[in-house]
Amino acid sequence: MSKLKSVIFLVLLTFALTSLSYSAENPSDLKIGDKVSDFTIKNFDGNSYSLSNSGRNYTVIMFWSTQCPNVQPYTSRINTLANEYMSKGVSFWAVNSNSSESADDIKAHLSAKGYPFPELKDENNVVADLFGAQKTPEVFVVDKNMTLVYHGRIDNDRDESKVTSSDLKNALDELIAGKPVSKSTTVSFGCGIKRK
Amino acid sequence: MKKVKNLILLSTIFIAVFISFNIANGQEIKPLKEDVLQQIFKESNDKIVIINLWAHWCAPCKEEFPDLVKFGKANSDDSRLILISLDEKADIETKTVPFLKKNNVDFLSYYNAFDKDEKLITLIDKNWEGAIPSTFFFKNGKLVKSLVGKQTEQQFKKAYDEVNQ
Repeated sequence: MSKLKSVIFLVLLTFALTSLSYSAENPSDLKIGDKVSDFTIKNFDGNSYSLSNSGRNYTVIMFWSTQCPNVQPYTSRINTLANEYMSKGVSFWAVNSNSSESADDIKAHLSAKGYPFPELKDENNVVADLFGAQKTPEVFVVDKNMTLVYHGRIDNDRDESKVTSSDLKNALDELIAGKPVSKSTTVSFGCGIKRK
Repeated sequence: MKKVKNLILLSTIFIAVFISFNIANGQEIKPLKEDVLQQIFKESNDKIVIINLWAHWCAPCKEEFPDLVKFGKANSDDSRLILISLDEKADIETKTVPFLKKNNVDFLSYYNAFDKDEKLITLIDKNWEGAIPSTFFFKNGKLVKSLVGKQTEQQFKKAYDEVNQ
């Protein structure tokens, strides 16, 4: 009987350890409907950006890179999207959390790409940690009540000609229309954020 | 007629030697779709399957690669390392294969040929957000551990030992 108990104990212990080790590598990040903590970035452009003071109904936080080949093809698409939705009560902030990309790199990138939105240097990846962001591009939409309402990709293909689902655009359309977001979480491949 | 036969024979030998040379030098790479992934799990029996997602344009992927290959080879008796490149098909021969060769990958590897990336992501780990490099450990076809971001040989080994208890 004591042998049986030992076996059961060992089985349970193994199961617990296995579950623990797996979950430990997957920290629970923000979920849709969670409140987002405020943050302030004093940017190299001389402005301070606080999430709670964005002054818009929705803020699109885009984890961004000057180098990632998954970000580069989005220049034209994101400029079009931002220009359209900035006049509909949405603000767009690109956040660069890569320790390998300097403020000077970002300045040059901004000038070359003509983004209509700021690109913020997230020193020490504080904002990336706050959101649990893993890659670029990766998008989070926060409403004026600081609630996360969308998390995922811009669309479902970095090649614009192959896009069949414009997920961020669809989410913004539904939000502006006062509807719940039908596809609030999406996935795609991206370059891992290089943290300090 | 004899000349033609000789020519065909020579060509056949040349092609065979060329193919075997390429395989021996780690240049064999195949497209990965759902059926291929399922077959990998089926064939691996009780071996631990270690899946690594990488791309030639991903700097941390390339940085961890020598450690990953070293770790994979050192533990090949009880595990199978599956390298899945996310490079575009047009880059496979010119960028992916030379990088594999440079890193002495002398086993079959794969490149993503799924129609949509999200299919591969959700098949590997529905909680994964798609950041690379990422490494996943499967035991009896079930995901038991994942490592997101650049790792060292020691970190791969530590994870492997935890899974292989």
